[in-house]
Amino acid sequence: VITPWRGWGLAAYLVCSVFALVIAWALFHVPFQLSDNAAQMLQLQRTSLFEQIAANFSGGAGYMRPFMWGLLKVVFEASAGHLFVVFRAFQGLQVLASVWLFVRVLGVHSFSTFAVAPLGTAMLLGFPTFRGLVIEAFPINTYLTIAGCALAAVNLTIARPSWKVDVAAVLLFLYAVLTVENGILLWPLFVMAFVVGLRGVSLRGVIATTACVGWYLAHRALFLAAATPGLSERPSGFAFRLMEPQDLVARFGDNPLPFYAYNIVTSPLAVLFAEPRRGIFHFVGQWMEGQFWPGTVLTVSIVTLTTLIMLTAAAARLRRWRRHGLTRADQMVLIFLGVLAANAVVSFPYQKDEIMSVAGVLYAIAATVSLQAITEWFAAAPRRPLVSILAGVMMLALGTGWSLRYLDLLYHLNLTAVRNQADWLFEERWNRANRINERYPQAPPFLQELRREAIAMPVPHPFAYRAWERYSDTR
Amino acid sequence: MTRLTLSGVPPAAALVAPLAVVALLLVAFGPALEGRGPLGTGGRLTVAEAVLLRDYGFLERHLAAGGSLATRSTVRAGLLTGSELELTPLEAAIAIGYEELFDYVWSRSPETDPARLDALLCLARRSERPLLAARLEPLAGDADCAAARYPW
Repeated sequence: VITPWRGWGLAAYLVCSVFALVIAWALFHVPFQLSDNAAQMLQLQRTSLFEQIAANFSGGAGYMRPFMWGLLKVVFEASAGHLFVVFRAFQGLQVLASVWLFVRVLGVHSFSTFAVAPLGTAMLLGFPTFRGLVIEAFPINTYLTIAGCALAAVNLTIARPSWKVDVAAVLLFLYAVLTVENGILLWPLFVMAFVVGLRGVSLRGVIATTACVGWYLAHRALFLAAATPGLSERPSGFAFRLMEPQDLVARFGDNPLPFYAYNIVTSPLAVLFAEPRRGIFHFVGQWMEGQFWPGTVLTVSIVTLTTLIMLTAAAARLRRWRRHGLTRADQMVLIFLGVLAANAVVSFPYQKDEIMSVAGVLYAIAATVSLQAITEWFAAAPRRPLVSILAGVMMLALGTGWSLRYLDLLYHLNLTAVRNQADWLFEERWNRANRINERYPQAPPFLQELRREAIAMPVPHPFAYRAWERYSDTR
Repeated sequence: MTRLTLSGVPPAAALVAPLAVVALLLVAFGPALEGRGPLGTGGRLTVAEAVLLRDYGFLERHLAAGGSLATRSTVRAGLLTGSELELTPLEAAIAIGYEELFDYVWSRSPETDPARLDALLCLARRSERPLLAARLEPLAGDADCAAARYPW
């Protein structure tokens, strides 16, 4: 017997927090990574907060990311030397805050809405584009910051309209876009939310954020020499393989448009079907060779099944859209599709899971709210037993699949810990290759301490779970 | 009060696996991450296994605790071959074949016994590790690999 109970919302927060807290706890078992991270901290050591922010506004830093550096500097100074503990605690809090913001959007008020929340949280954290947000940190993962901003933005769009919400939306947008370029995706999010009828952020707020977009683009054009990344900056996937920068330049140097078009067209597929990953069609390649990797099959299957259910349910509600307007599930699906398209456009220079992470977060919201709509439809009136059983089988499959995906994130955190630790052992080689001691005279004692701390950390090898390896998504 | 019908099946089914994961995490994951417990295959790594898995952190901690990279230890079945083996760290390094790893073990525990050097050279040749064999050749004698015994 199920009684209406006002505690379902609290229960959702409690249960879903466990998923986040376990990740936060696992993060404390992952040594800092060496490359990027150590150099960033050495940079933080020798410049003031003001210098960091000024260089980012003037274009002197090469990027316009003042709040990324500002946040790094604030946490760095606040750590008072306990860098690992404080930065890892910050990253863990970001994961926890993301889950809370996610659960808040779900508006849990009954058993049927509560029941989907843990599945949705496993989806949020286990989504392919989320993995890089926790296994990497420099020493804060900027994309995780933006994912949190996107979740906060969705909360604003469903808030009670007020000038305070509009101001918060503008400030949030500025914070996100001046943290990393992906932050600009909050603008299409606000626009789409307004278009589909969510008025938490009013027309006034949308216009203000649009003005901020104009200012941001103009400032970039005026002060940044390299407005977009070139082909020679980093490797990127194309068709069935990873292409090194020199290969990309050789093939697309004269006319990069086909490569950009490839990225724009295929990056949404990475969210909708978990294929390709970083531009590489691993699953299709395995299919052509007849050699499937179970972990790849599991991920592609569960993401594709979820996408099909979400889109089929939305299509089934089409007639209702016309007569009664959009439901919350409809609104979230449409916002997701709009942001997915925008996210694909900003992915044009190269593909990376983290870049699509905003769309990934909105996917988890749209899919979970859609599943809540399905469970509420069953709760609204008795349905045919066969239909209920079929829906139950479907939900069981989704819950199992996304739970396995979530567990895979923990496995990857463990793998990352072992790799990061090994990197520190060869710190001197990295130091020489990057001329670290020449560039940062204060480096030797600082790196020595980080190295000692990283190597002393007891990191168990994931060999203990070797049976899991085949079911891990290694792409 | 509402009557429980089959309409409760879809939400209940959605909840089953994630709640099982929560229970698993609360009960089992902590010990498992420490290298024991129901998720693992039991036990901590041995030194030879750590070499095979290139777990440098384990090896460094082992050395810092006063351990040696000269002693033979067990490698569980399934890691290198289908059966359990006894390997020295250098044999394990040859098995995995990475020069960097071999150099790491060698720099911390070089082999000086001529008979053992010959055996390592034969093993490197048999395992088709020419770069590792090239490191051992100046140190080993004129090894007669026809009569050599191999650990796997």
